[in-house]
Amino acid sequence: MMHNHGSPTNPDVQLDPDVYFVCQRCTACCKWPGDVRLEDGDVPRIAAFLGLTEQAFLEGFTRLRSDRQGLSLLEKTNHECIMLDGSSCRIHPVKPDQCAGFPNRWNFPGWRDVCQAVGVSAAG
Amino acid sequence: MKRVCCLIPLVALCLCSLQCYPIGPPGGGRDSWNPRYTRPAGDAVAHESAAPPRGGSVSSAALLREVHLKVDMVARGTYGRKVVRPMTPRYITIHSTENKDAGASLHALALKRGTLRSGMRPGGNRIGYLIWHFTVDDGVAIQHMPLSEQGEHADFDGPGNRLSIGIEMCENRGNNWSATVDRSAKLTAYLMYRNHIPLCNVVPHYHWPRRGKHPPNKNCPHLLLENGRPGARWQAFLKRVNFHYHRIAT
Repeated sequence: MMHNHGSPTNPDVQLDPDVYFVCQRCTACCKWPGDVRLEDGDVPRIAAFLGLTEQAFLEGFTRLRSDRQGLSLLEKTNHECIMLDGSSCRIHPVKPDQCAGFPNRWNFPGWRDVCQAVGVSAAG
Repeated sequence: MKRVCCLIPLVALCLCSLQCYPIGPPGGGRDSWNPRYTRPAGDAVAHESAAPPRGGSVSSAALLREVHLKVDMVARGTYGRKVVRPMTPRYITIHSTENKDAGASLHALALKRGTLRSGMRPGGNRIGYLIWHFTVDDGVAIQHMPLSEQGEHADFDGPGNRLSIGIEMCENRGNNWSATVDRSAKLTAYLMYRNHIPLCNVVPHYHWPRRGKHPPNKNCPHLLLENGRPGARWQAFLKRVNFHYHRIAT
């Protein structure tokens, strides 16, 4: 049982070295309200993937984070991430580290109740 | 008994007055009420009073064109302007954004969308949002609200918010900091001229103590402060402001 829930800013450390949770693309995490942090490297990578200049991407898809210290992806009026397109993510191959890191590098108490990721042995 | 009842409002008024913040000298003279911030000795630049410019060669309109001002106000009655609080500006407060990613345009969008929220509490943020008057980067200065309205950027219900124009300087990656400083200095000089604000009333955010915060004086704008306090870099900024102020033709 994992007691350390990590942090969205944790890019490297696997919380449980023995179990890897495989995302089932249920999109539950795409619909939770809150910031989707953009870290160093996210902006040029995502802009290039979308075929946009960085400035166009920044102005069309991002906002200041609520702590004013950086950027977040925009959200729709129903709190869904702006990149959620139906039941898939428009930028899945280049999604932000915060998205890619959940739930293996960060999660929260009770996350298993709202996430359909399947655990597999990391040794395999 | 009647006399005692008559005295109670008077006593209450006296107690309230002891809690009031001083608001600085009338007429915009040198601000001397803050015991936490003393200007360095021999600081000739910062002691200049509200003297008119010395008759430079640039009209105030031309200086404003150099600022490259874009007006992109938050809609009246929304978010940071949901309550209109009148102001006659007597100070100019300089901030830096501490955001490595966003320039002036993204800050303008954030203000117009109401995404910069803050918890309200007695003695704290009064409206639930952050808002200030200008954001400056290396290419543009954007105005977000009229100078006749109070922002929410400095010290909650203190004189910094009630009496000062707030200017945020961008420090995002790829932004030319020197150009941002110079554009901010030009904007500050223009605002001094138009609003009769003396150089000694151009202050860093640090100047305004924030009740309930530790430390009360914020290390802002951190790139213009030394060890969290105004020093040589802040004085150099004031000299730049003063230089542009005296370029204005009278």
